[in-house]
Amino acid sequence: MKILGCFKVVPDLDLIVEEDWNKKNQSYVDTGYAKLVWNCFDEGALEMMLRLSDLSEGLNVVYKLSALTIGRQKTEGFLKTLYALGFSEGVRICVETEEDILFSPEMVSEGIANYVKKVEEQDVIITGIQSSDGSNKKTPYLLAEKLEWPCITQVVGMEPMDEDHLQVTAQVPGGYMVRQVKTPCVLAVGNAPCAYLRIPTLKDKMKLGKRPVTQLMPEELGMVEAGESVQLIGLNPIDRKRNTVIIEGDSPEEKARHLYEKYLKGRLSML
Amino acid sequence: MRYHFVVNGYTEDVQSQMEEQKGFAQKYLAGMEQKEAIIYCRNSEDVQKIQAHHAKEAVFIKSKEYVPEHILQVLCSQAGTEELYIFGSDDSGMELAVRMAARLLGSSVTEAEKLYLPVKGQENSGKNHGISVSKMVYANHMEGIFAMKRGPYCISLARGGEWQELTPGMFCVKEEMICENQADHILSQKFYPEASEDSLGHAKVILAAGRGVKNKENMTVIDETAKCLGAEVAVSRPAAMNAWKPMNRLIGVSGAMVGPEICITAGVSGAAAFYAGIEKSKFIAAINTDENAPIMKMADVAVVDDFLPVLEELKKLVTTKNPMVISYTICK
Amino acid sequence: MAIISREQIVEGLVKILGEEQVITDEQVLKESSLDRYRKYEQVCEVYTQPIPAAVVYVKDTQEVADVLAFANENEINVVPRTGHSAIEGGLETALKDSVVIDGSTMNKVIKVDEYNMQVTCQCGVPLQELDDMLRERGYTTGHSPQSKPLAQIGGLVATRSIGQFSTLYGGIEDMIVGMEAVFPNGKICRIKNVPRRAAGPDIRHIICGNEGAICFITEVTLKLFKWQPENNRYIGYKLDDEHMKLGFDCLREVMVEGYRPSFARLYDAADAQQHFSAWLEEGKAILIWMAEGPANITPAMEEGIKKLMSKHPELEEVDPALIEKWYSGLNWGPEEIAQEKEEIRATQNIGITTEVSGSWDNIYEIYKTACDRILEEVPDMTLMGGHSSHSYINGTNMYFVYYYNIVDCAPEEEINKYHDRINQIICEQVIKYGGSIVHHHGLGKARAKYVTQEYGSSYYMLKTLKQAFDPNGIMNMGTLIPLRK
Repeated sequence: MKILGCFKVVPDLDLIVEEDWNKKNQSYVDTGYAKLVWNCFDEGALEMMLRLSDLSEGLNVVYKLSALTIGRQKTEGFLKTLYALGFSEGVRICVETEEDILFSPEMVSEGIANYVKKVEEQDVIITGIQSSDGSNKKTPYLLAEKLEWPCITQVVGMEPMDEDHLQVTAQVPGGYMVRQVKTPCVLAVGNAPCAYLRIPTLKDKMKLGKRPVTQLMPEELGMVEAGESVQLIGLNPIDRKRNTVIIEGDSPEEKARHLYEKYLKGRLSML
Repeated sequence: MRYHFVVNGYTEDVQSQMEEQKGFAQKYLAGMEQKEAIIYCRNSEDVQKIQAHHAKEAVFIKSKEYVPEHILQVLCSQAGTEELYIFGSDDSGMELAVRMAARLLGSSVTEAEKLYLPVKGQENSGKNHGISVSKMVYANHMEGIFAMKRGPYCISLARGGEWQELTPGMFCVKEEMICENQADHILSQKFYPEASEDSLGHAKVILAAGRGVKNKENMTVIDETAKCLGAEVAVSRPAAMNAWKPMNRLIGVSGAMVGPEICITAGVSGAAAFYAGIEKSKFIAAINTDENAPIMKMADVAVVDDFLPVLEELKKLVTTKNPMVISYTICK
Repeated sequence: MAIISREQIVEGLVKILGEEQVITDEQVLKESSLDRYRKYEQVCEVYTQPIPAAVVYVKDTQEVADVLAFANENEINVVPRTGHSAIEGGLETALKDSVVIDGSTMNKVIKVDEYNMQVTCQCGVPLQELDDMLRERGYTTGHSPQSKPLAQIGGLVATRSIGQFSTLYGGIEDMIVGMEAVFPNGKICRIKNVPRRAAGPDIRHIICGNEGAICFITEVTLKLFKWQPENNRYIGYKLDDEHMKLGFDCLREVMVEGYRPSFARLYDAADAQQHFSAWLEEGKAILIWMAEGPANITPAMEEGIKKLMSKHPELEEVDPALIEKWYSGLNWGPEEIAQEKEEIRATQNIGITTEVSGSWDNIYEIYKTACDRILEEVPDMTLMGGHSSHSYINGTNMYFVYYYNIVDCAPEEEINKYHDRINQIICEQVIKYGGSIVHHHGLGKARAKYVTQEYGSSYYMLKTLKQAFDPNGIMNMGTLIPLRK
């Protein structure tokens, strides 16, 4: 079974300085200096693929794991890490200005769909529901529509069955749904319980991580023509500071009354 | 342009979903014509039994199991190109909004916070983009405004928006449609209910005690007040290390990281390690005798006083003025 | 070890402090039996050290004196503690029925003396709160270690802590003025606050760095400095990892020419990728300086450093804005600690640091040979690298950073299989080339076993100090001087 994990490499947003969040009239935030990390939702998806492969040991099913990302040269290090962990194919769709794909889920899903249609067929595509920066929450759903595959969302686990089926666990309101699913399908990963990807040893990196990454251009995959149906027209800073109000009063009881009447009563009744 | 609510009737909290939709429409869609709601569900009774509605008429799409592909098929066959569809804030609402727009070549935005209608007379001026919607991007660090270019316009709502009380009475059923198809990609499925969740992580109100509570006896005042407020009790690390509460009540980096609607701290100084644990709270009220304690700058409101008389008074206020809570409180 | 029973210890403590201040809750005791040196055991909630008899919170110096006198009389091992951020085993309760004396409740800032530029505080004042408060008034202690969000003044002085801006402000030993400490027999000693003295040996250094093995620090006066970050200038260069030797030489040149930047750093390629992966190519090391001080000094320092570096064709200048942004985003704080725990649980991958120092003529050998040996001898390594972050006229430090996967190993075995093995290699290489095995985390219990090699003939002085001040052997036994097995 061929499984493609699609992931995004994102800046660590915790490292962005306050002034960059507070700039007005920008169409994207300067995150170019922040350390790069796996988009956490995708990281869970990639670890899930490895766990599936671990579970298949001794079973009569072989998983060929591939990974695809869209981004600049620096993201290839992440693909090589996946090589070191046992992925057999790593693909980068080369985009040098990442702002272009930030709010472009149509373009991103078009590129992935065309890769699967035209370059390398797959049985399953698994990816995170959203990226931390763009937060579009659209790519897996658009992908399912473009490929006309069914989609299962909020996936938290996969277990092997046979060459054409997977057992998929998904979070649903009030619990978990375990389904036996026929491929092909798109799996969207939300809050996976295994949110962290394992880490390859330096020895494995030396041994397996040196293979070149397959590079494709957006033009080859019809990404340039894919238009977005929604367009970002403004980006506003959010004022998160709590401007503390000191509650005045002559006695603790009076302060308590102010606190309750003005601030707590309404909020409590909303719950 | 006209709008429809699209309701997920499979969930337990269908009422609050509808209340949120109504709240959103009231705030952002004033003057727009409302059309029938579209409700997908196992059974129309599941929704009608709440005896309340937010649209006069409704179309019911019924399917024994929730399979998004089936719902979409019926949903799309019904849709008009220049209409606005407002989905709930759950996963299903998000998925269906995106996929419906994709099928009908319309546009979609997930987790919409606000909506702006085109200014009258400028709809086609080129400058104005028609409907635009705001949502949180960059992991909640920024608000993005998105112009929706093509209809149908499908949006799913952000969680925790404003809500409006529903109108009593049932929906008038305009049409009922039944999905007969079997999902051929699903061989079998089994539901496992989730084991009980940790109480701190999901608490709506938290009362957190710190070192300023001074001793274990004073913790009973915290416990009693919490009971009246319907709050969970939590402690900072110094309080936990004094064994005033067990470790599973610890908030902060070595304990739970919480985001309740209301967080009240009593005698907490506000060390960084603690504050990180409550930073995501919607509203923080701090009570501390030291006006220079760091917490006093991080809270929304602060009371500079001893927590004991403040909480004693608060307890009385809540007990007498909140009949909803009084029914199960056993305060002195 | 104690000559009275566990119950009698608790009874005695309650008599002195009252029940409120004597904690015997099992979970609290367990967590108080170790520190971040046994990070993996902590994450797995496996406790291998003797569980203390009690944790006591002290409110004033007299209480400390009373508890110590009681312990001294009954030969009870005590472990002084404030912020609980130690990472070298200094807070482990190595003996049965120990008592942890927690000074974090002594958290008052006693006096901010802006005219004499010094601040006096009790041992439990959190550094973060102190410095935030001072910065609002335009001052700083100049002390900014990574443990800042957790550490408190007593512990910082006890472990000879150092901060990121040490090249300008020095370590904590350069910042302390006077102190108050309590010795095991209950004797309270105060050293007055004066700018300098030549009245015999500097006895402050019996207190500073004692790691709780000689006395309990109750009060500290620190120097104040003007806080003027608006004048900061940043300078950065990248270089190939093979040129690390040149990197150390560049750090040296800047010091030798007489510049005092507030930080001076050299990251090797492996460590650099942990911070600068957004724009720094793999295989590149990086040099960074920050000039801090009055507005007319910092541009001059920037110019001077750049002129020195221009002579090296191997260096390529980095946009200072990237360094500045990195510096402003440097927020190792509570969130990171919480996340680290989750990550270790999920990935069984753990990161540790060991800090040493060396002279200019041996630091490169220490760095290179230790890294090579670890990669050769220790299994399952996932990252091996490091940086120099504190420079002096005569040498610099090396902060080894290493990560490994914990494979087929029970939590209680981890220390032996990986952590201590790596520590041992580093210490061996440092001693071989003539550096110090501890730059700023303290010897703790983790590295106490190398103390005789570290001290050589001067071990006599350390041992004599310990015997003289703590003849009954009750102060944090196993720290500084290893327990006899």
